[in-house]
Amino acid sequence: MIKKTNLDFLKFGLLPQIRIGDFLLFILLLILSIGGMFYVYGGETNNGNRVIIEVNNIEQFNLPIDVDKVIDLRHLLVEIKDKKVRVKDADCQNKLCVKQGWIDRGSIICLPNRVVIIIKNIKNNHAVIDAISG
Amino acid sequence: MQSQDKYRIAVLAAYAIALHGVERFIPMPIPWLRFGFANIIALTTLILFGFKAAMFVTIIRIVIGSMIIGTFLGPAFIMSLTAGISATLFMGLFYTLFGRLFSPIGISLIGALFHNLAQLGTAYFLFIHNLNAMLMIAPLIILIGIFSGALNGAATALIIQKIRENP
Repeated sequence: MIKKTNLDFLKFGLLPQIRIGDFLLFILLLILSIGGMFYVYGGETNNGNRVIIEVNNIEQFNLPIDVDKVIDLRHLLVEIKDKKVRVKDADCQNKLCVKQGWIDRGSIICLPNRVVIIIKNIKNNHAVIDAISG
Repeated sequence: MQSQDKYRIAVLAAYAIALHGVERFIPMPIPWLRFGFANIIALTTLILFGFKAAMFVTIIRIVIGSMIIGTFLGPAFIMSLTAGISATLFMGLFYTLFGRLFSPIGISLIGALFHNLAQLGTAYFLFIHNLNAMLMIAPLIILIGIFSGALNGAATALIIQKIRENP
């Protein structure tokens, strides 16, 4: 008679159900998402020089990040300071954008008020045009 | 549809609605983050009773669940509906086509992936028309989805095993 071992529970547990397809799919998705994160967050060494604020998908502000300023968007209060941006206050319920705090790259998105704040690196095209007009 | 199937769908949808509601009380570091426990029921239904029943359970769960929570026809409801339907659709597709290659965990991973993709797609087309912002957030959401998807898949595997042991 074969003696029962303590490992017998594995026969009825989760492990014998796992197939090679699960494992490969898990690894594939892990590589894709972590690779994607490196691509999205790690790719740019330069953090960007312009703060772009879009409301209802229309660009409302395009401001330099190195000039401190507070912008009142009616629903949101956006603050630019020390080359960083944050939403200082918002009139929505959960205030996700306020909790996100200061950012020096990437974006802050407020879905209820349809506001997108992005830090972008824009080449000096603007400076040239500014120089001509100014 | 036989009346037995109707009872099954009603009971399963009730389980899914309960999980959908209870899940809101689990504290999360980020408020929009969810485990998606209701998907356990959708996947169990898919494997035990077929694709049509799973789709019924998903749609009933989202419509009634959103009425209880109070987000019916709001943005959260639309995102939840498109995501739920596409997750169930692709889980059904993968289960019929490649069912032998995957355990419930693999199918659940597919569901989580397409849930998140559909949610990002809906957010893009309906709310924030900014591809850059969406691409920035996509990898993080998909990464979290892998873990919650695997967890749900494991739960489904254990539930189905229990049901098959004592029918």
